[in-house]
Amino acid sequence: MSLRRRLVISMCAAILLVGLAGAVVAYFEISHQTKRLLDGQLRQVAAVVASRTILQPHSDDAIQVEVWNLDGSRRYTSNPALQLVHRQLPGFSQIVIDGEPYRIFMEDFPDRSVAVAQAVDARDDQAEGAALAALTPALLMLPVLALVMTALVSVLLRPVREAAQVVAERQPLSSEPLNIARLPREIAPLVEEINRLLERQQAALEEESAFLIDAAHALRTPLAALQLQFDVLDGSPDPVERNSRLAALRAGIRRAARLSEQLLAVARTPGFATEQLEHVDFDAILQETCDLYRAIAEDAHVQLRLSAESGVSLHCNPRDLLVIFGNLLDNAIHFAPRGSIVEIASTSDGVTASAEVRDCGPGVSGREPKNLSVRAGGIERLGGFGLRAVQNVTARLGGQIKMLTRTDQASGLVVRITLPIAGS
Amino acid sequence: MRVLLVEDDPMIGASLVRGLSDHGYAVDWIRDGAEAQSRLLDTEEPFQMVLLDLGLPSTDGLELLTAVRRSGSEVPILVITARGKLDNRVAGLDRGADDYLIKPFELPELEARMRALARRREGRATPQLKTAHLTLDPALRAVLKDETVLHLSAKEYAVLHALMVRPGAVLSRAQLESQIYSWCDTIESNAVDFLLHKLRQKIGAEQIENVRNLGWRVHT
Repeated sequence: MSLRRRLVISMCAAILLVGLAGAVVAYFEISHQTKRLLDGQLRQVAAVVASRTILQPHSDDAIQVEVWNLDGSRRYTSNPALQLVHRQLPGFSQIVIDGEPYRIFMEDFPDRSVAVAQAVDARDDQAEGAALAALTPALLMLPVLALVMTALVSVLLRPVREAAQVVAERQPLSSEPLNIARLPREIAPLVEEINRLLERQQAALEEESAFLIDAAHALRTPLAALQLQFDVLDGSPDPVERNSRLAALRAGIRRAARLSEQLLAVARTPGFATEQLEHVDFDAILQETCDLYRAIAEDAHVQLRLSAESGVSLHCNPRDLLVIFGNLLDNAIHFAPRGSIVEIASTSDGVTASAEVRDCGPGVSGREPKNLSVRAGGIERLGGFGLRAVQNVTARLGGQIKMLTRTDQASGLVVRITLPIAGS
Repeated sequence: MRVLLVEDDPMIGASLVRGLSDHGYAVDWIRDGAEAQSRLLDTEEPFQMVLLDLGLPSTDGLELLTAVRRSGSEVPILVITARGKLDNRVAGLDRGADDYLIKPFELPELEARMRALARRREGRATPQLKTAHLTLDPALRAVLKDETVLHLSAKEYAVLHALMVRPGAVLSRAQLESQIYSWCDTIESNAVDFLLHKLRQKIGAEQIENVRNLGWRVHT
């Protein structure tokens, strides 16, 4: 339900409730006041009758009058049919004559007693009439008030409606912030939050498009290799050479498939959180990653050496760890000189688990390790796609990446990944 | 034609070496930018074409390009790279590349561009190389003698191509060797003599003249 409708309905209901309650109270108050006026009237009539020496019959049915002498004999009655009972107590009281209730006022004067009576029904009619006459205009104003409220609500909510209109007319991927200048103070924070959300969404979109660019870029090299491997297939008449070219093509296809696997793993990153997490033996995953890359390392004449000594398990998706360390190993093997050793070592301090991938390739030259950022020259070594994959997944696992130039060798890069241990 | 291939990707490099060698090019393949730079700045190395990948491990391809041009080298350089953005292409050409080919590409296109670069460098507009009786079409890798098609091996073709680039000019044994063998080929001492012998059998001995103590030239 719209805010406007809620406001209108609740305000109309409030007006109706308060108005009716006020009317009820006013009704009883006015009829009470009217009855007091009528009582005053009875008292005045009694005083007038007492002052008259000659009492003539009158035709007013509304007020009955009886006068008695001091000895109790009736001296006058306005309506012989009525027999007001003599010797009521002075003052106001109520009696029933012929089944009809009467309000009666009796007063003793020096020479006579006077009783003035009025039918209760007539009194009630007058009181009701007076009350209704006073209340009618007020009750008639209630719908007018409701209409005015409705109109006011519409006018006051116009900025909100306009903001909604602006949002409704936006292009799906527009990142331009919503204008909050004309919005009421209560709505502005909401719109500011929406603007912030839009900013974050824009950043996410940019990240995604950067990933797509990186992915397309990363696919170019294996595709170029496949194209060339295919182009040279028929170039040699020697069957041994032809077989060797076929083998190269097969290796190229395997490489492209592996890269597409990595790309898929990263592309699925946002959905990872919904997948089943499990307790993963950190050292076993490192062993598995090494096994996966051993053939590639051998092709590059690089030796892989694993020392997995963390002895911890992590609560995560094992594929995440494969993405991180697969990319790091791929990178290390790529840059390691022929005949050198790429090391993976894991340790734990009880709170976090760390693993380092060390190679003897070029290091992070000329940069302070603490100033390293994604774009810093030294890290370009861990180029676009692979770095993005490692960063994305590590950040999601709540871990950290550090890249250092190796000091125990002439050159080399050390990439240290620190990840939180499950439950600590 | 002697080509220096600077490419760090082992698969692309191996395929290019194979494909270009099939077609008579002598290809030296270097994976490392720093090594490529020292080879290119060494004027003793008679490369007639450089295929340069920009994304190299140690030296950036663009820096290498700048350094080579600054040294005064005029060797045709064809950049082959995955960096396909406009500013990358502009930067590559502005720093002295003669052409720019974006990965992935097909081998025939690469070779066509190499031939075009060679023509430009030799100051020719026509694709064919001609003498009085011989026509060599680099695009088809076909050799005709007076309308008759001759069948030459890749190396024989390479020798004839080297001689016909400047008809009448004398090429020494060392010059021929450097143009038809890459540095990893093992060259027998009389390999060039043997190739020339076979070639003369096919195209007619009178078409190639032996200039005593200097070398060989094609008969114009």
